[in-house]
Amino acid sequence: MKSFRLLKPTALLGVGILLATIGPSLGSSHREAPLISEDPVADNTDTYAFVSPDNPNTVTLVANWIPLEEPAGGPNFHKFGDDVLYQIHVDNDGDAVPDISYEWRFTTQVQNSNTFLYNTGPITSLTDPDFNVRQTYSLAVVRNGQRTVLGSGIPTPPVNIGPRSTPNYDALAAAAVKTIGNVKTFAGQRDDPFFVDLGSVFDLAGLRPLNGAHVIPRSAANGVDGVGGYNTHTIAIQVPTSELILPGQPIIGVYAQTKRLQVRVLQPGLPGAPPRQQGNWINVSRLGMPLVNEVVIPLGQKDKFNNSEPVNDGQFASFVLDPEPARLIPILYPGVSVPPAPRNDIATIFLTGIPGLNQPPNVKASEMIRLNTSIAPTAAAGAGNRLGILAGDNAGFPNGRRLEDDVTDIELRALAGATPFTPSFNISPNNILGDGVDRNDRPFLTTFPYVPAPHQGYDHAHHRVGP
Amino acid sequence: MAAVLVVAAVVGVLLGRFVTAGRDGPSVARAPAAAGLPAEARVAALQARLSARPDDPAALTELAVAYLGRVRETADPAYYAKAAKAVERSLALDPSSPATMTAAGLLALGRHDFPAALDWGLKAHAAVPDAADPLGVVVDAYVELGRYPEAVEAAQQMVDRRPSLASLARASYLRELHGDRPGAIAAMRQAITAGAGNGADVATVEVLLGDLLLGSGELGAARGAYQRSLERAPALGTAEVGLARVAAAEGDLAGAVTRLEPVVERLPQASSAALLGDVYAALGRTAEAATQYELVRAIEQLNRAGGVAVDLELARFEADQRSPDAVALAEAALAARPTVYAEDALGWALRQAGRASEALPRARAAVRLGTADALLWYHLAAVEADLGLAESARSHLRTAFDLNPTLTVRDLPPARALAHALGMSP
Repeated sequence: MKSFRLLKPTALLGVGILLATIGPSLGSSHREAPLISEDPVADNTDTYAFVSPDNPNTVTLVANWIPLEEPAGGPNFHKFGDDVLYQIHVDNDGDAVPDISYEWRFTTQVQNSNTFLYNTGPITSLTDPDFNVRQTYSLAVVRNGQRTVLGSGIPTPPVNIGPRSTPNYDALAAAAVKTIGNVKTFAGQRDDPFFVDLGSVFDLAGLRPLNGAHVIPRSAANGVDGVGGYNTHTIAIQVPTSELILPGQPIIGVYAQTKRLQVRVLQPGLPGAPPRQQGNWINVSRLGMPLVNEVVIPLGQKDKFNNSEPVNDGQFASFVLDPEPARLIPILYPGVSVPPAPRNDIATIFLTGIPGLNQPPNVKASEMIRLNTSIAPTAAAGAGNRLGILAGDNAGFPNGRRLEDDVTDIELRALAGATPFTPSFNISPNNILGDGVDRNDRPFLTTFPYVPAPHQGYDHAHHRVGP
Repeated sequence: MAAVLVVAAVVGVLLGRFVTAGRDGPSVARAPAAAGLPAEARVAALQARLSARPDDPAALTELAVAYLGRVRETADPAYYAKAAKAVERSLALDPSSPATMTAAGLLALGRHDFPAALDWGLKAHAAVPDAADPLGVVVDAYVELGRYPEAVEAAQQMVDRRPSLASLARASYLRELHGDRPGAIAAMRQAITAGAGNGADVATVEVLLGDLLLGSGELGAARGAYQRSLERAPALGTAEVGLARVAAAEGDLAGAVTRLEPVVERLPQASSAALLGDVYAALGRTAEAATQYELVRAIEQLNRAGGVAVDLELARFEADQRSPDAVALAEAALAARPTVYAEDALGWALRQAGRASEALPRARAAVRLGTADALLWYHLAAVEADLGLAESARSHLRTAFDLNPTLTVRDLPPARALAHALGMSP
């Protein structure tokens, strides 16, 4: 009987349990600070890249932070980290090194220092004096090492609290969509656009529609969206394609990164010298394709992966070529067989892009979303075929990633070998694997920022049932 | 065969962003921002999971960590034994798991077995050198073994891997130990920002910030930190204790009693009972003070029974009480934990026993790092005064009052008397 480690991307022990602090009045009791702590504002949950359907000369890049953000978040409502550098990188020549990087830095200001309340009355505009805890941001772009600030003091909308605090939420959010030159930008709370049956997939990889095929069978049922009813914090930017690509080469690699300033524990010189930051940024997380870190990179390597740069991803190649979850499928679903290692197909999909579709010339293998900007959108925003390439929709995942792409089902099937790369495995049930949750709980917007409005704290529900 | 399978859900691991702290599906209660007892909920969920599949090393390790959280939530050291059992079972199933080694290290830290904690932490670090978590165990163990340069090095490595709430809180403590109080406060504030969103952990660190501010005599700011902590996690006893200490520092002893009595009843921790005793004593309620001091001893006995080494904590307490066994306790503590605080405990015990000349080298050793803790300097000043070293005594007493004008409820009156005796202006 095999036993499998539970893979966790950020913390070894993966449980946000606070640990004791013994009061110092007995002075000597040892100081215990929390060890295993969540870091949600630096926890990049999803990254998306797609040609904007309503504006096809532009590309939209979206990245989300703060997983499973509870809409009723008071009294300390969620926001971005003021001490964090948020980045979305674009590699336009396939050498695994960013060529263009967009950067966001946030600052929180409390308007009325006599209160820590988020709002002291209904928030009717972004400059309403009742909007007490405000977060603004600066947006910069780095090209060839040159950094240009595009704008600063850009507002974020308040979180969606309720009918008394944020009575006309859509107007507030719309006011936070800014156009700076030829770039559109938005940062703030949104509905988490991801959709998956969390409850079932964590119950020994249960897939409710396929409950009968599991090694512990149950009767078939509809999927339940475990992310339904939760929010997230979204950064979105829309950029003319011509600003991102090199002439004659339309394929870009995209990934997000999150960084914090390096800290020097002790200052040289006298005690009491004012603390200084080191000045370097430490990588805290990175995310391109919704798979590689979580599934492929083993537990002990996750901090290493998060700290690393794509140009060094060769060091993780062996894990990609023999991903552990692929080996689990035949055990949990008896009778289902998957292609044997080495899984060059997985490496192609996730590390280089697919030849003839989204593989740049002379590509250096590295984990990124690869988007062929010359492939036109096939549908209005949010209306593409959820199975993307697997259903013949070449504007879909893994060519870029749109909000509506069902990456859960697509990746399950890819792991099981149900792709044109491995035709003998492109059969039932490999090619019908799915969690039964096929769409987001809220419809996507047809215009920027495309991610739907956030659920309201006062009135929301979780875990929508059904496809 | 189903019973032996361990969860590594295929699709679950595909969506690894969920396979992390607390996010293992809607079947596990998620503690909302201002919630009660997250560890209690986790214990229940993990026990349910294990009853279905008992031989799940990952779940056993998580259960052990949840039990450690329960110690904090209940002040009941009996949970250490439960945690130990869970770690044992997990190691038997998977002896090479770095997560379990780290959990074993956390358990050892909780029981004050710092050599074992260091051992586990270094093992886990060797297994996964790029991970930040094992370094947290290593830092804590080195600090409590008095190996400060190594602690600083490990903390720098930890913060270089991941500047998070956990690593920044440790950087803060090391700065405090080395006398960089503004740096300690700055780092603790960064820790709070870094942990934004997790109510329980941020609440804990806000208390640590409050303690730092209180120790600097910044009562208003300390109160603010404790109050914010309470807002996030109302069940956290240490924030209430902090507010009680602020009240006492302001001279509102009645207010301090009102806050402390329910907390001590709900969460009988030795430090809070000792504080309540000191406040009763300051109010002249001697009998009630004595009851609290007996409670401290009873709690430490319980802790001992739960496998916790309590010599250092008890030594310091008994030295304050001028108990005859304080010196022996402090000597044992210093041997096991050669920290500046153990030097201070032994120095103070010797001084309280009238052995000032033996106390002097200990009291000096206690301040060798320049630690920004007023009591260390006050103790040194008292020893020097006993030995007629008036100049040094004045200088060090001034340092103590500069660091914290209100010291503690217990120490302020004798410290003031000492200042008067040394001819210092108020």
